[in-house]
Amino acid sequence: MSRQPGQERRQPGWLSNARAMASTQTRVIGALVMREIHTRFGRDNIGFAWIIIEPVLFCLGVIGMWSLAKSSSHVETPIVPFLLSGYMPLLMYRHCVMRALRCMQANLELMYHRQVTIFAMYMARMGVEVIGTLAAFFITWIIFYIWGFVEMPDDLGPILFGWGLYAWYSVAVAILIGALSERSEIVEKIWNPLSYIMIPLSGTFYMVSWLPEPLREYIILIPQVSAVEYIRHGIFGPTVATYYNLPVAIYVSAVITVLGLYFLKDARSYVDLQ
Amino acid sequence: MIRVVDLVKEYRHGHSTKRVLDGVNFEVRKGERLAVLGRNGAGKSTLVRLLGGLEYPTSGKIHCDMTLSWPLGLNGGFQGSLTGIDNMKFIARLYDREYREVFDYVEYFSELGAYLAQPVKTYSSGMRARLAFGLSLAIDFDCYLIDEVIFVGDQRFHRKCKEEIFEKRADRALLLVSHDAAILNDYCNGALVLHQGRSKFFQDIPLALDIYNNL
Repeated sequence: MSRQPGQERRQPGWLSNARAMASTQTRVIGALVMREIHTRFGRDNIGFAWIIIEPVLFCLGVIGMWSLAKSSSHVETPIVPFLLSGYMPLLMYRHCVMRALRCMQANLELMYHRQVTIFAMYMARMGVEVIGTLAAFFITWIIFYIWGFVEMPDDLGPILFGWGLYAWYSVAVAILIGALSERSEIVEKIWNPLSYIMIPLSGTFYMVSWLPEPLREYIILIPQVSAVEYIRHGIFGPTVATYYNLPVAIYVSAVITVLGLYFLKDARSYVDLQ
Repeated sequence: MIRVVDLVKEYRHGHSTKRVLDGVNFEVRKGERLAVLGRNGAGKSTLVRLLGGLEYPTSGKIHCDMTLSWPLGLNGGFQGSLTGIDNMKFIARLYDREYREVFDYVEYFSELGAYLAQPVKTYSSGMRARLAFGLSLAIDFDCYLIDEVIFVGDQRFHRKCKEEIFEKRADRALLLVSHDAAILNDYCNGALVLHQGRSKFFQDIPLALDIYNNL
């Protein structure tokens, strides 16, 4: 292969080599995370608070519209937990992909430091996004609990597992789309309309049980829908019917991860520094 | 030592391929200070970017058992919206150095004082150069990759660079891209002339400059 990295260091022992590499990459990801936090959330503004304020505003807005419209349909599902469990994972998903698009091209100054790999960059950015949203979800939940809009969730296990699945899928898609976007600008242009079209397929704004019976088993083949439903299963417990297909969600996420990492591997050689 | 063997770099623009480096060979030993000369577009910056690991060669090898700095130029290496201090913290973490020591050295070397708490994008090019140089010296590499444009500073900065690189770190290697005869005579003890993708090494700097001027 002609696209081998040109730098070679000869050191004895592949195991100690691998260990040294792993510890370097851990350190690099740590440094990138700190940098990400400084850049994203700043020092002078309220930064991190926006991650929480945004979904709170969204929920309050929808609750306002809902009560104005006095909609009588689907009132059996508590509205705030329903909105939170759909909207916040979607937010995480969209932010992950947004932050991956042309991420390397936008952060060329990082490429000056040879130990910064594109993989470390992605891990740092996605890590901050995922942990930030997850923290915001629980903080928002507590705020709404104090206000009396939500109750304590039925079971924390499925909530965490559902979030983990959703996060995995988000990161996998972000890596794939991000790696492809480094190769061609067209990917970014196509992704924007495509991502809007795909919102109805994310399970954010409906429960699978509201759909006609024959459609249900097909819609839960989408990992996002299964993950959201599983989060809701944890929130509502047996009082609300939920549908999910976890094995398929895991399988699809794994396939996308492998594809993404494959394209990410040599994305760096496509970056134009001139 | 850095050993560059048959280095080739091609760029593709649409359907045409341009071969910028076409089989470049040279070595840099410990303590050696190599100037890289060449007309505009001869591939000087490309060579530095390849050595710095920013880009990968089309073919050929770079063997290296020294630590190499990132390419020190007017841009690159810093996040403009972050302050000098945040950049320093990031780079100290990245290269596994004690932040306190890095800070002390950079503060002494750069003389930027209160500016270090300002975003780097507000710096003048001279201030950026001082920060970049100070940081790379604080990290302490075996070999420095330097683009001459970084010598934008005043006389005092030049003197300090010379003192820190030549007197205190005489065993460090240097690869300096430059057109400036005075800087080359001052800083280097060998020269690599790049022309039409090929390279030739000269021990004699005046001779190298002579050949370069007649290209």
